[in-house]
Amino acid sequence: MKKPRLQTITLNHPRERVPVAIVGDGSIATVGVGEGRMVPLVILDTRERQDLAEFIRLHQFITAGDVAVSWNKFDRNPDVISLVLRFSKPSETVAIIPFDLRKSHAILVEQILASRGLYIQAGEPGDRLRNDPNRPKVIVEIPDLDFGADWEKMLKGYAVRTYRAKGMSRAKAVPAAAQFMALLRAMAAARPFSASSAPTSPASPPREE
Amino acid sequence: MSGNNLTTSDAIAATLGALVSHWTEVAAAAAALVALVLSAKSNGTSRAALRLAQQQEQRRRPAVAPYLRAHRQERLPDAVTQYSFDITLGSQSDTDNAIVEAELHLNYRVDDAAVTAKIPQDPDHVTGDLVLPLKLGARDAMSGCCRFKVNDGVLNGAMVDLFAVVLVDTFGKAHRVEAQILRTP
Repeated sequence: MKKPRLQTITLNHPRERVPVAIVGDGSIATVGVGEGRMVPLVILDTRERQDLAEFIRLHQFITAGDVAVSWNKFDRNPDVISLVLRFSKPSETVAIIPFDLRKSHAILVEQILASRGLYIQAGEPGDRLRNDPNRPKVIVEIPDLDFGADWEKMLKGYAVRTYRAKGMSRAKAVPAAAQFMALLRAMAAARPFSASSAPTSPASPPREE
Repeated sequence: MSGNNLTTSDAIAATLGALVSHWTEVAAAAAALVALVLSAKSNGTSRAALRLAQQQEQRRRPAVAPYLRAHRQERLPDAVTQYSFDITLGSQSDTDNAIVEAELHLNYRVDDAAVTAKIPQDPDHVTGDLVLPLKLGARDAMSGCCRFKVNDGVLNGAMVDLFAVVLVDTFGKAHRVEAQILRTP
């Protein structure tokens, strides 16, 4: 496992340093995107981030985009990992998206790692994918950043801690955590259909948590 | 008086005698003096050579000067506005270069957030357009038009504060020309 290192993130505006909370999530699978993989979607609270909402809206009209991606830890909380997206096109903005394992965001991270993609959508608390599936969203390609080993350790630690907190002995919590991780991975890797199959509807029903 | 002359002559003779008897030290001192003079001269030559090399290096650094000659906007069908910028590019460098990317930056505000939308150049070229990639030789100059088509949905009613054409060369350097007010022909 790589030793964590400090990284400087250049911001365009002080508002960008505030993490953009996930207020809703789901996943989308289409034949045309990601070879039929289930790509996770996060609805971000952009009430204080009009620049990010505008970026997502702009992308409907200007398809050329560019983004630099990194996984970062901003505090000592072992259960939160943040995805930092530094967009340079079609407009410049930075989004720090925190994934909190205590809020069942582990499946989202697993899906991101499995599908190598993430949809982001602007919104506010209460918004759900099913309420407005045609709302503008942007798919971000998340390359392999050698994050797998760190994530494995983080997820395992979280699962063991959770089982232990529920009264399980360490001897039982470790295999239970491994079972949980295998199940999570299987769910994340699921493909409703492959690129070769031609469903009558191009998209699977959106999943929501 | 003669006694004094004799004394002076004696002194000179004594000095010459001393010089002859210590000729090695004298020769070494003379050689050191010559070396010092040569070294000072060489230092001056080196400095001049360094200055020249630095000036040559400066001239080799990629430097492109864009000049905005004219700009205009016109409405097209299908709720599209075309922004056109007549640009002359001059290479101020002794190194060949090329322009690989052209973008129109539209600066506007959404609520209190400043946004810069980056519009790529229209891929459908007409005669007189700057067609990218555009080779720009050493000390060369080129002229042409950069056209950008912007759907009304992009601005969504927002008022543009600044138009800027940003040209990126093969060295990754961005060159920018700005316009505040665009007229309709």
